[in-house]
Amino acid sequence: MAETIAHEDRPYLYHSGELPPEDRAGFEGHLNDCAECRTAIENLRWAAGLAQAAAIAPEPALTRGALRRALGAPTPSWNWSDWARTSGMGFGLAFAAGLFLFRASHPPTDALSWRSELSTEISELDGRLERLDTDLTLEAWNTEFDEGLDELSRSRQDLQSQLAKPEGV
Amino acid sequence: MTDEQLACRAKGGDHEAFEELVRRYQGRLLSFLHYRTSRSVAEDVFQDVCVKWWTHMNSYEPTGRFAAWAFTIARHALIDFAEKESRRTFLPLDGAADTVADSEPGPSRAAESAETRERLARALLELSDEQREGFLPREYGGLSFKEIAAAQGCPLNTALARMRYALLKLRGRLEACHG
Repeated sequence: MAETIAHEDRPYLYHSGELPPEDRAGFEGHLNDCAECRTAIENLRWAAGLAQAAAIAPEPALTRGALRRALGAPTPSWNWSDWARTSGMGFGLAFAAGLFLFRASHPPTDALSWRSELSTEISELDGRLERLDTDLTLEAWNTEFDEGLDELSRSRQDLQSQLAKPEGV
Repeated sequence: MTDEQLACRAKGGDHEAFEELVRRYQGRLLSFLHYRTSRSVAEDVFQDVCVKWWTHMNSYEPTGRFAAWAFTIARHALIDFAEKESRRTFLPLDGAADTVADSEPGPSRAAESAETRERLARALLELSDEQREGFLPREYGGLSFKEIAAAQGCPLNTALARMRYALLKLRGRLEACHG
């Protein structure tokens, strides 16, 4: 939607070349009849003349120094914001890789996994104790069995020696 | 070659194009800065602005006018400088115009220019910040009123009204002094 231009603003937009082309010719005709707009245009020309008369030219050394400083700075295709963006991504990737390697070589030690690991270890210990208990029982039985076997063997030998004696002795 | 074409080449890293842009804008830039601060600060900021133009050239969009982009950076550089100094350094010191190098030959012409600068500097003191912010970018930056309104974050008719009052005040003041 086109913005409505106030009467007093038209000379300024005309002078700066911002009045829409379709309004320019109409405004130029209007200037012949409007002293207020003519004064505004005259003020704008006066200001332009004043600004030109009061313009300041830098010392050549100042411009040379500024150019030397500017062109010694990073080039437009590699400025600080690019550097920060690129290096930020680089640091991010390096950090992620480092974290991955660290986690791989150092298993997690947070409270939850620690409890889980401990429970597993306790279960394993329980299993080993049960096995030891069974082994000890078997060993006791083995010892008892061996002793019984020895006793039976001894009794057998006694019986054999009795059998080997001649009758009537 | 237009400013915008030069800026595109500078954006691609062309030193000569950038040097040409600085030469085209050096007078306007220093005047824009000088009438808002002291001469020594204006010269420091002038150098900073040139560095920023070069290092920020990537942010220049070829669809826009170089002048609008360049003077937006200059305005921000001056604000940054004032903030760093933690004080308002805006507006000229007495006699600042006397130290200005004159491009016009001849002693009488030089004296006339120095006097004009001095009078303008003093008259600008009587404007509000907003009026000065309209007058200087328009006259030295060549910014359109739409660009000034965008830079000031105000409606176009507000920017136009500020300029209108600035001119009336300046002219009244300068003609009263002269008369």
